[in-house]
Amino acid sequence: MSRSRSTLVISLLLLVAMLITSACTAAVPAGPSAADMERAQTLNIAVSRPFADPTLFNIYAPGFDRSRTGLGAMVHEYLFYLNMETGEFVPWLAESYEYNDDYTEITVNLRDGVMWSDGEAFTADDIVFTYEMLRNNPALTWANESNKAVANVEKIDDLTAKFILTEPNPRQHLVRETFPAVGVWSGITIVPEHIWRDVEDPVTFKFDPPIGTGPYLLESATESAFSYTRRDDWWGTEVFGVTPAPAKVNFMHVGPETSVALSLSANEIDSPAIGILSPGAFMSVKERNPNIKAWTEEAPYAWYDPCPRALLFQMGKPPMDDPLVRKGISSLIDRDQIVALAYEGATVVSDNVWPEYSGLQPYKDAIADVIAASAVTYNPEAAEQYFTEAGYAKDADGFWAKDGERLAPLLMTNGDTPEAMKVTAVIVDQLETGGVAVEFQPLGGAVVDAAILAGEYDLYGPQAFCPGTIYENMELFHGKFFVPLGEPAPWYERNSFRYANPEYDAAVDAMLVALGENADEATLIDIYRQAMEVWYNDLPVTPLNQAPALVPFNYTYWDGWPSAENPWMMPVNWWATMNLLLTGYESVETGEWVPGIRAAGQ
Amino acid sequence: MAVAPVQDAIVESRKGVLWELQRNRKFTIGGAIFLAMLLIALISGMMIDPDLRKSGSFPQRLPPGEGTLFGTTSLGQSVAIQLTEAIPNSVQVGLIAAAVGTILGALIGFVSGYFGGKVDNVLRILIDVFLSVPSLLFLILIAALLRGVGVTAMALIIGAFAWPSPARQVRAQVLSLKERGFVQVARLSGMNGMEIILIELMPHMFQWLGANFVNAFIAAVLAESGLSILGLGPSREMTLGMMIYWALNYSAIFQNLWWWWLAPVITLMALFLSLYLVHIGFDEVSNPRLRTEG
Amino acid sequence: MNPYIRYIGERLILLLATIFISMTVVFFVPRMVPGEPMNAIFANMAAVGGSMNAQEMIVEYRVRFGLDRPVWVQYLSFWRELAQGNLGISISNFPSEVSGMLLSALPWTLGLLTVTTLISWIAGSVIGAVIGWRGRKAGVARLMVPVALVLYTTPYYILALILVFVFAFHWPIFPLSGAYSVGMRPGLNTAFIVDVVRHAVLPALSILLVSLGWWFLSMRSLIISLKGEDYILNAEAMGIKERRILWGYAFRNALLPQTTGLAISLGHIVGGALITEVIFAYPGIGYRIYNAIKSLDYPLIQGGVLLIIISVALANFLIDAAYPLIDPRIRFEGSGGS
Repeated sequence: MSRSRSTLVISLLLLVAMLITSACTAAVPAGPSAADMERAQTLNIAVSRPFADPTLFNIYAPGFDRSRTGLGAMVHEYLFYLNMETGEFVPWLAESYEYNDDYTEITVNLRDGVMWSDGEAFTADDIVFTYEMLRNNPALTWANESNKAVANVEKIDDLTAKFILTEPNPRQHLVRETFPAVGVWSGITIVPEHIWRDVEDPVTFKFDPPIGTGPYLLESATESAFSYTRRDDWWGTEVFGVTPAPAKVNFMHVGPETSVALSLSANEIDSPAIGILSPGAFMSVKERNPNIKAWTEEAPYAWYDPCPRALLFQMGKPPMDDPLVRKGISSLIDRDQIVALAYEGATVVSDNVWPEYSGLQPYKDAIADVIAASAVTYNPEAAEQYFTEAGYAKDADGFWAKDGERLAPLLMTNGDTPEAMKVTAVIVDQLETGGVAVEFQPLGGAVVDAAILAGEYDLYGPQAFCPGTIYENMELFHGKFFVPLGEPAPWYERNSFRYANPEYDAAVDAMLVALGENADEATLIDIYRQAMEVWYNDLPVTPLNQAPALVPFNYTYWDGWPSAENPWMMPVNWWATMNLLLTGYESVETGEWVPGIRAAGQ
Repeated sequence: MAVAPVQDAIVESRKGVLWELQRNRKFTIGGAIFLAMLLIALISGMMIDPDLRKSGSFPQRLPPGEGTLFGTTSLGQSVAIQLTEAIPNSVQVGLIAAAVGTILGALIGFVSGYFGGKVDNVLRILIDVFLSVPSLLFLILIAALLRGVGVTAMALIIGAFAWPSPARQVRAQVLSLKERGFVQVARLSGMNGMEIILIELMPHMFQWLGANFVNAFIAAVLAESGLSILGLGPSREMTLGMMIYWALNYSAIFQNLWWWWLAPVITLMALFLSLYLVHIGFDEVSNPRLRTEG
Repeated sequence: MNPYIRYIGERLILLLATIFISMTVVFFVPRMVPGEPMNAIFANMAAVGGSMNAQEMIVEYRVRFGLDRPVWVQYLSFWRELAQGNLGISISNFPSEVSGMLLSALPWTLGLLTVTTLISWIAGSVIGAVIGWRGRKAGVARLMVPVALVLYTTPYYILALILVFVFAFHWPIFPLSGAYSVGMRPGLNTAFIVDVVRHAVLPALSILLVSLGWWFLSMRSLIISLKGEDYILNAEAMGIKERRILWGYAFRNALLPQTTGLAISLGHIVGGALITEVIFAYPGIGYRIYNAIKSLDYPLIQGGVLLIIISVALANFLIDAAYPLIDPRIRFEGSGGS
């Protein structure tokens, strides 16, 4: 009997030893994999999920995976691209645009020589047709927005189109949901009229094979990979005289974070999409493979996504309808600890909801004193004051209570995203330490949307605030998006927190007018300051941190990636602007061609 | 009229079984390990300052020994302190779910198999419906309805979907047993259904129940960790599954933070192995033939 | 009437009743959860910043999916469409058809899981029988017990990740993930088949290790408990060869519950192996159904679960049909009248 037990114990120990050694030996760096010709000419992008339907290529179909398939960057092209890193508005399928005097029309001059991949010419007819299609099919993605903003598109001649707007808007050319110019994600995409005019229902049309004007053709699509091959007959090669370096591009799903980290270490992929690698995993990859680099050489490594994170307060009901309670909660949040624990140091704290871009710095400088006097930094003593002033006192267990009722806000989060789970884990502990008996509810899937839009939370976060431009992020807090509690709000950050202050709205409206009048920056900053004075006093949401976009690039096969040292382009592989990462573009400022990525060693 | 002697017999045999059990070394060692883990966790859990459970209480990513017993996590928590909470919670999930699943399953399987006919048909449809509709459907939807579950709710949900498989097995066993000679004899001698089940069939199923309980315990704890890894776990309480969830969320395997993910895994194995020893010991006692050969 | 045929007829009725009730459950339960499946469409759009006024479109899409009608009308229409073989269109992946999404994933799921389930069942059962029967005499082979126990009790997710780490990264013998190499064109040629098999090794191994342990342990304990049975003792007393007692008597009897387990497993194969699919990025049906449930994609849930229900019910039916043949002691209920 004793023998049987010892064999049992020994074998258990052996297995445990195996597990440990496997964990430890794995730390030894793997040698570079055999670089066969094909791999050296291929660019591999790792995406976060398998593709639900690899037979669907209609970018307007609601279920189409716009951000992972790469179709918007490889096959489709846009009239203009916004390089948010340099601030350039890069003409591409079009050469120029101009507004009329009252900003109700935009005339776009198209580039001569642009061809669809099936040999047909790209003309103003395609633009007119695309907008007509959106008008006739309001169920298409972006149709709703587009139809509200654009009344009609007229063809002047083959290379000139006139957009007639429903109301004056000097920023129309920047709104990708209504105008075919892209900075983030993708947007209104011009489709070939000669193919789509015969389509019965554009909403269910599969668009197989997808025809675009871009430098690549879709070669094959499966659940795990969308593969593209370079075209020899791309119009840009003739017009610009450039050819993108990779002969093939794959957008592929290689598995969960660990698998992505392993394939990056083993040089099987060149860049993963956003949100896959945690900072800790990235640092381990760097140790194993020195050719992997992100935006900066040192911490925080990440580029800042234009969508800073904040915690939402439900202002439609007690207790968060009291600004003192909101400020008390906000003062209990130690944002440095969130950055250290939840983001493992790969971002910085934020005291407002705009990204840390140099172009926005004057605006931030102008409100430094407003921020300093506000409640968006960690300050437990201030929190005590706020809560006491709001009529709360600590009960026997050290929790804040009023009229015998504890301050027990319901904190909801999206349980499907690791980032949200990590951040809220830290916030819950911080609030409890500060005497707030927070209740935590991670929701997922279809349930979370309904609950958040209906405003069932007291606290919700972390929420991204996009697109990060001054006016657009100001507008998110506008009272025009207010709906009563219980009814679905337009969207999460679009006032699901039920904020309405006419004073603030007036400042936002004034900002739009000023932009239309091409007011100088000092005027804009002045209006911004007025708005922010109201905003920080009300504190409808509390800023947490900048959004880290930890997007490593592998320099083994490809060189010339953008970085903090050479910030020629946004380091983003999941937006339609990724096109320019491969082709490069003509600088608006210098007129010279900024080259795209190139094969390593060249 | 037959009640008194039967009770006597049961009491007597129970005395015997207990006496035999405490003499069986596999049973005692397995039980001792299991109880020791549980008690150490419970007692030290009570002595620890609750504030030390919070994130950021310790430096991040410390290997074992450097200040803490089993190292720390990326969230700045002590792995050892997490274990003191996770072990009792996971054991609770296992015990509740296994009890619910085994008892419900045995009862339904018994009734279905023994009575046959219409009762059997109705119960069989019930069993088959529960067997064929994937429990993940219910688990996700119930978790959505409850908006996040605690340890007890989690245990009950797992248990509520753990009975069809044992029920089916019990039913098959009963079908086979009831055609055997001794049941036929009992029936001919005028015993009614319940008496036959209790007196003749139960002892035969007793061993099976013990085995199933251990298996159901293991399955329930694994189910809890599986659900936790999918993000459906009790997110405000620490269980062994939630420890693995957090370790994986911070890619502890890839980052070589072996103490973080290995601690819950080894604890799981130790729990299971000790229970398995208990189970083997129990088997040997109830089936003396095994002692000499098994 | 032949009692066996009558018995089969009754089982068939049960089979249909099970499918009907299960599908009714699957139809109604997701609709009881307060959530808006249409949000999946807009979450998808919003992930790329679209749709500032989602509510107007939600109404439009609810009409497209017929969700504006009373539930019982939807229920009747569900059966009517199903009778015509129409599983509908996925909500979260609109306009993809449910049947197409399921059919493209099914071969990978079936291929991987059928092979691994059968191998692990056969190997586990045979080894379990031998080691259980020989007991102490099995010697070193008895190590199999703790090994199986450790394998079966390791959380699958961890085991699979370690396999990836060791055999795809540290010693890059097998590919990290996927069902076949990116860029490879599926076809019946040697290169493709070899590629598919190479990709299947690690996922298959991970499933094998875990399930083999389970079958092994359950067969072993069955055999051990059967060793005490009268007829085995009798057979031994009669001097029948040990080998014949093991395989002819004990093993055959243990096969009954073991086969029940196999049938249930085989039935559930169609449900896919969710975590395997996630870790190895292996195409399959589990991840689709999981996502469908999470996003309350009613048509995709119904289609996916229908596949599972039919195959589990069929497997149960086949087992029922085989019971009397395997174990002649079972009388046909209904014919005998107990």
